[in-house]
Formats: sequence, C-alpha cells, structure tokens
Amino acid sequence: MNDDDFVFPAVRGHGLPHLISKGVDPKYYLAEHCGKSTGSCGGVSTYHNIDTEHGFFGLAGTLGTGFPISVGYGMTSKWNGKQQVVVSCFGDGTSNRGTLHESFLMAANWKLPIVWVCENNQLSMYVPVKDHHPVENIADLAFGYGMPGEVVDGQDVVAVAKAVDKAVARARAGEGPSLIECKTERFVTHSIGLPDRIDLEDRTKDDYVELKKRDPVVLFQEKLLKEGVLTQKEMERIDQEIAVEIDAAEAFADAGSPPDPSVLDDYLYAK
Amino acid sequence: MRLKKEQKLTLYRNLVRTRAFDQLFSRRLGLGKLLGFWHPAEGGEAPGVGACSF
Amino acid sequence: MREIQYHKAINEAFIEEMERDETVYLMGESLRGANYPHSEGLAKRFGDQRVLDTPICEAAFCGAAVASAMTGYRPIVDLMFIDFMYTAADEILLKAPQWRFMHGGKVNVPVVFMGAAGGGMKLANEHSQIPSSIILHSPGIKLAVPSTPYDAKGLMKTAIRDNNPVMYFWHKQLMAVTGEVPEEDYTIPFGVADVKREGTDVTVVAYSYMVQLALEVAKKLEGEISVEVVDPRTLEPFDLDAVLKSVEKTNRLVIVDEDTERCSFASELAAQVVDKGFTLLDEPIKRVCAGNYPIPGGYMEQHVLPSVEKIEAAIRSVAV
Repeated sequence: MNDDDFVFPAVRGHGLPHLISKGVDPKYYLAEHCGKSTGSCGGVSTYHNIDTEHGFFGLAGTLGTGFPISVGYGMTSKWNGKQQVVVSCFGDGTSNRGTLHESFLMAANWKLPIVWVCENNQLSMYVPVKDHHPVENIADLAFGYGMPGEVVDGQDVVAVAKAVDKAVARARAGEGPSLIECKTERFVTHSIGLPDRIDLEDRTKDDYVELKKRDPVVLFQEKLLKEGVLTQKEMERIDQEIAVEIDAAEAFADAGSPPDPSVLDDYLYAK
Repeated sequence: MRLKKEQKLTLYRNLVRTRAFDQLFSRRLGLGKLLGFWHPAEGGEAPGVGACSF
Repeated sequence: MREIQYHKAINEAFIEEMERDETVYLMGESLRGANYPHSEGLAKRFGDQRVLDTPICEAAFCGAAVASAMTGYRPIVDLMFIDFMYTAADEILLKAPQWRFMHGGKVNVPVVFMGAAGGGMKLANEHSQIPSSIILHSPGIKLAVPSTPYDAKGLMKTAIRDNNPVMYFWHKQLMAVTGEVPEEDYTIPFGVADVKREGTDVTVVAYSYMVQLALEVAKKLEGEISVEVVDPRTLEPFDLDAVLKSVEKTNRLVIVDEDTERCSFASELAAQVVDKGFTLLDEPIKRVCAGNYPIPGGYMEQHVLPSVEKIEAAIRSVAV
C-alpha cells in the first residue's frame, strides 16, 4: 500500500496495529488517549485517531460505521485518478452489522477498490463466534456479492500480508473488492477491567496455555530465528529500541496538557 | 509476493512494537494513566500488522 | 422578475453548483429517473458519475457520503422522504455532525442531506414528518428549511458551498408553489431570518410550509390584528436577534412548528425567548405544533398537524 491508500482500522487495540504498521507515530495516539492537546485529535476524543497523510481519516465508536465510510473512500479512490485503494478492517462481532451487507453490496455493485479484512478472533465480547454467526467462515459472505472470499491463518503475519497484497493488486487493477478472513485470537479480556469470559465461564489457566501456543509474535520469531533472518542479538536490539521508543512516547504524552475549552467551538464547525 | 529479508524484519518489528504499545495502553489504564477504555489487541495483532505493513 | 416553482428553484441550484464545482454530485434512490422533479434532466446533463442511483441502503450511502466529503468531494444525498433518515441515524446524526469535532478539526465534512418533509398529503407516519428537533439535537450539522422558491434556491446553493454538513428539508406542500427567483447567481447566508410580512400586534415565527399558513392567517386577520411573520430560514444557525427584535415591537409571540410539540424547536425557541427577552413579553408564548402522536394517515392527519384554524386561535388568544 502507498501512504495515501485509505485504511479503516478494526476495533481491537483501537487501530494500533494498523497505525503502527502504516508508519504513524503511536505517541500521538497515546497522548490522545491521555486527553492531551498534543494528541492526534487534539485531546478531545479519548479513542479516536486520525492521520490523513497516512490514509487514516478517522475512527468511530459505533462498530460497523467503518463499512459505509470505507465505501466512501472507495468512491474517492475510484474517481480521483490517484489509483488509491482501501483496506477496511473489522472483527467477527462487527460483521454482524447490517451496514456490512449494505456496504458489501455497494462496493461490489460499483466495483470499488476495497479489501475487506475480517479479523476473526472468535469472540464478540463474551459471545463465541459459533453463537453469533451461522456458518464456519465469515469469508463465505463474499460469494453472495460476487467477490473473492479467502480464509487465512490470522496468526501467520506473512500469510495475511500475502493475501492482502494480492487483493490490493486486484483492487488497484479495477477488478473490485475482495474479502479476507483472518482466523485470529484474543489473549486477554474484551475490555480492560472486565472479566475474560466465554459465554458464562471465565477463561482458565489451561485456556491461556493453549492460546499462547498460537502467539503470532512468538510463532514469527521462531520462524525467523530458524530461517536465520533474525538473530538473538538483533532481537535484543529491537526490544531495546522499542523500550526507548515507549519511554519517549510516555514522556511526550505526560508532558502535554488538556486542551483549552475554546477548542470546543473551534472544532464544531469549519469556517 | 515473495518477502525479502528486510520486509520480514519490518513485519516482525511492527508486530513487536504493536504488542509493546498495546500492553503499555493496558498497563496505563490499570494505573489510571490512560482515559476511557481500552480494548486490547493482544493475541490478534497479526491481521492488522499483516494488512498494513506494505 | 420571472416566477418559477419551488422544485425548479432547487433544480437550478443543483445545475449551477454542479457546473461551478465538479466535485459536487448527487446520490440517492431513483434520482436519475427523477422520482422528484428537482432532479429532472440532471443525469443526462452531468453523466453517470455525478448523478448516482444507489441501492436501497441508506446507511451505506449516507456513510459513504460522509467519507467522500472528507476526501475531496461535495455530495448531495437525496433521501427521498426525509423520514428515511432514521435508517441511517448513525451516519446522519453521529457521524456527519461529529466527525470533524471528534477528530480535532482535522477534516471537514461538506455534505448536504436532503429530503421531502412535512405532512398534509395523507401519507402517514413514515412519509410525513419534519424532524427538525432530531437534527437540532445533534450539534455539528446545520438545518435549512426554505419556505419559498427564492429561499429554496439560495439556501441550497449556500448549503452546497458550506464546508460543514447541512440538512435541507424541502416541503412536499411547497413543491409546486411559485415565486420570484432572479436569473443571476445569488446565495442566502445561513442564520439570517427574513421578515415575510411586517406587523405590529403579534409576532409569528414559522418555518417551511408553516410560513405559508401563517401568511394566510395574517392576511385573513388584516385590519383586525396586525401580524408579523418571521421566517428564520435556517434553524441552525438560528437568528434569535431577529425574533427578539420583532417581539420588542409586538410583545407577543406565537411559534408555529410542524414538528411534534414535545421537545420541539418551538419549545426550544420559547425557552430562549423567555431567557433573553422575558421582559419584552406581555402574554404567554403560544406554540402551534403537531400533537404528540405519530402522524396518522387518512382523515385523521388533520387532527394532529397544525392548521390555519389552530394558528388563528393561537394568535387571537394572545392578541388581547
């Protein structure tokens, strides 16, 4: 993807994986989440983020909003001659929304350059996917709209990258949208402070042991070490660099101040 | 798509950075140093990282 | 000056703005075939990409319009009947008005939503509302409510050029009304009321079709009660000063609002006038609104909607 390609992030991590991977400095989002005027949205939003130069035009708190918004990005991409594409991400829970169907329909009908990426972590808060979706693969929804639908191992970052790359190329060539479903996991609670539960039952220690066998970081690390792409020394260097980045990001967020109340008027209407 | 060595390392770095920042957000919320709520990505980072790294 | 119909005035505003700015386009259901005459001839004139027929999926196309507006275009979304906006409530009420604000003013959302509002045609609950209060309860979106062809054209042109979301109610009962509209380019600034008739005894604030009813009553009472009719033309922004100025002269206020009475624009305006102009009033403020019922169909509609009789009675009750 290019810098100006559009991304609508999924809800988990409030889009951190997408922002970080597309080159946005996460310190602005940290400051935003700390209510500071130095944050990505000036500190008025808590959880929204925006970085138009990297194709992020905003986030929304009502799940399923991203589908229609992505259709709009797709229309712009198709019309403005800049050969842009859209990557629109959502979870298995969000796939329940009616806006998914309306937007899949519009995007397929108008052959919009959109790659729909379902990050299926198999849990919609406490509800397991088998209890909220009637068939095994959400990717099957694609066929009703004449799109390719593909399932990939969502714990294999390379498999995801390859599948999305192929769909992006297809979209950019004017061949329309596709759907990629990534089977992934959620290692922790839905929302910090809430119990980590499936249906009525809290997850157990054994559950976590099983889950960690599918840790995408560990799996990729082991693979790269085995391939000789990564060395123990390089791993430590990366960890150290990230520790420094985290310290700097926290210092940046902590140094900021809450916005001046006058921004309430400044932000409401454009001149 | 065949990934070059640097591309693999980019993916790896983005995964680890995402994990680290996500855990930072979770930690700070617990300490009262982050506002609102936090829906962690831990365990489910690869789809977003894989989709947006290149 | 030439006279044209209200729908023709809207049609002209579309043509002039679409010719002036190629980022302006129209989107909605069966627009190309002109299910309402205001989109007549546009598809032929501007081609496929600028007059778009959507599937029946309001949430998707309203949300798409929000994103399209953020990324370089100026969509006009025709919802056909404005009642259909409820099927895209998230997009129209939570996204369009709030997106700029929630993202620290970093993007603008220059989108126009429009639809046929109002009752009187026995079309019942889902085809007869004028849901002003719902829009006004969502800070961040402007609301235009034209009552004449002149206002319809001037306000639509301003709406299209505005860098913010605008909701535009056109009234079914006004569709074929004729009025003077100049041939040359003009716009009407938002937030500037128009005194549609001068008077000295009672101020009537009315908007959209209710202006026509108020004028009818004012004419009937001529020689008996001198009625001033103030048309705010936009409810957000709202020209409170114009209302206070009129009430300063008449000391009496009747507000006519076709929307449901409870929590209505009329209620809000009454509160604002009491707050800012209590000492100007010699009589209690009267509201003439739709009753607190769903708008019925058939012969029952007249019992719920405002009428000339109800407006006259309200004026008489304060003109003591």
